[in-house]
Amino acid sequence: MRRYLLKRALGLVFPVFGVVTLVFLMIHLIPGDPVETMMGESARAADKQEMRHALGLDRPLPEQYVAYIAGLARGDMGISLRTHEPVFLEIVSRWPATISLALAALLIAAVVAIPMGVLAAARRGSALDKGSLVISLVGVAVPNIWLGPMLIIAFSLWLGWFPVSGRGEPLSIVLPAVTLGAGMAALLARLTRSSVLEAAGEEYMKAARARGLSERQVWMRHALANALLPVATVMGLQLGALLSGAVITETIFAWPGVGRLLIDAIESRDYPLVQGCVLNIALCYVAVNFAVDALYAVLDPRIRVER
Amino acid sequence: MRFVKAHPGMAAGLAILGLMALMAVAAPVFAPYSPYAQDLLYALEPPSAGHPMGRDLLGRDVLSRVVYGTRISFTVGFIVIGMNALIGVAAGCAAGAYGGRADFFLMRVTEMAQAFPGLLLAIAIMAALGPGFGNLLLALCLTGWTGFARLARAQVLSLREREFVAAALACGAGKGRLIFMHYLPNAAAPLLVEAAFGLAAVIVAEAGLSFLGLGVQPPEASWGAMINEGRGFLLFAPHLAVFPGLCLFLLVLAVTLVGEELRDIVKR
Repeated sequence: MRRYLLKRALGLVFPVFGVVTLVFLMIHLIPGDPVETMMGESARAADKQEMRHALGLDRPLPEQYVAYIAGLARGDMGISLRTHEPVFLEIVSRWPATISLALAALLIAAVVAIPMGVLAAARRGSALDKGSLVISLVGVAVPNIWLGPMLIIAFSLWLGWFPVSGRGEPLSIVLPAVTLGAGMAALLARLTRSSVLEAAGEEYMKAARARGLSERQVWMRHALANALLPVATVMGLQLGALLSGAVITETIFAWPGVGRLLIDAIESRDYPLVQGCVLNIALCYVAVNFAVDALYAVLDPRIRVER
Repeated sequence: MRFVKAHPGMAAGLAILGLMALMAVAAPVFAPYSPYAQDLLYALEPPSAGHPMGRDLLGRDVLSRVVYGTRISFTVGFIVIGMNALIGVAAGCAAGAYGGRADFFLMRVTEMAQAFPGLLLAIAIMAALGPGFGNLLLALCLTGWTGFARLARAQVLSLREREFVAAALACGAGKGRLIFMHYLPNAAAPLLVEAAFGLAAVIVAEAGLSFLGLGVQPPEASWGAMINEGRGFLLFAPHLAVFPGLCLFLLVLAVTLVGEELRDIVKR
């Protein structure tokens, strides 16, 4: 087990190196003079030079890279040009909003999708099964950028059930979470259905029935217990994906998370903050995927042997 | 009719795709007005007989802009998915066929690109390069190829063990000949399925980036940018966000339907 986890951890070296390097190079990809892009053409030459020095852009590229890595090791991601606060602190203050949104989306998706998938599998070929397939197809195809505004029109402006935007009262999380979790719910419903159907055809189901277990016990103890392992894994992996999907959802609902901070930073050309946000989201995505992979190996010993 | 009965999803998807492709090609015929013609006196006018989808903040006809927006979605979608397939399949085939260091290097590059979730890498590239159509194409081309690379490599690794490949090798076939004459024709079907789902993802990504103000810039008509413009008027002029979003949804639904039927056919 340790060997497997060590091997997987070593596999993280290249992705993490890639993320850090690409984020470092971002500022050098800016066409022309990055300092002029940030400060505008009308800024005084002395101010530009001061900014260039503060960002370390007047040093050779390898030296900048080493300084960047050393800074990251100390938790130093630079200073925001807009607020003059440390980038790290700005981002850390926004993570609770993003994490709560991602977890709420995950919860809504699971609560809707798993029973739907199980019922569809149990009544295969029925109107209920066909209905759930159509709903999940719509869920896969509906884009967040449209679903969000449509939910606002229906449930905030017409019915007045939920706030239009912001993160104030407890109900304010419902519409952003539904918007973020809709695609995932569709995916999970399909996966649950196919996993349950697959498990239902296994030999252990026949053995359980032969032992005289009731149909309910056969389904709950055997079919579901085995079918939900891949569903749980995909849920974990999707949690990482939800963090990036949150950029759009947070923008629609003015949700004060890291995604919204990233878009605000891009609009105000606050590149140290842009770099910090991109780095944070990407590293969090890599870490979540690793954690899920490791947890899956703990839960299912076959994974350790196969890989 | 037999095809429609056997594959109703694909038939519906192809019908919607065909209609939208026609709209994209013959946009001046389908659009009743110029997508740029402004009339501020009629700004935010609700849908009417003369303007079935209403008018936007500048008094432009929303239907005409939706029709021209089809062009952006199709152009970006097909160019990007073509480039993604080209880059990904070339990398995956080379990694699988040559193995060793080439495989190690190409797969590590793929892992690095995959370390960024979904749209994030495209957002980062657009943030650095600035918004615009060319940069949008570049950002999406650089981000969506990894799925093709992994799939092509897996296909080549599985095909490498087959007898017909051993026979070709015995006849003196080189790596290039193996790739073009044996691996690619046999891997085409799953790659086509990947392309169908990839196309839906690219269309959504383009709309998402334009929605965030990082993609296609005004006055060009992109569905994502139009939904964003309509976001501020959801109470008084919901038509601004409803119609472009509905078209985006229908296009993604059509591509998904085609992709799912293709996947089922390939599985059989």
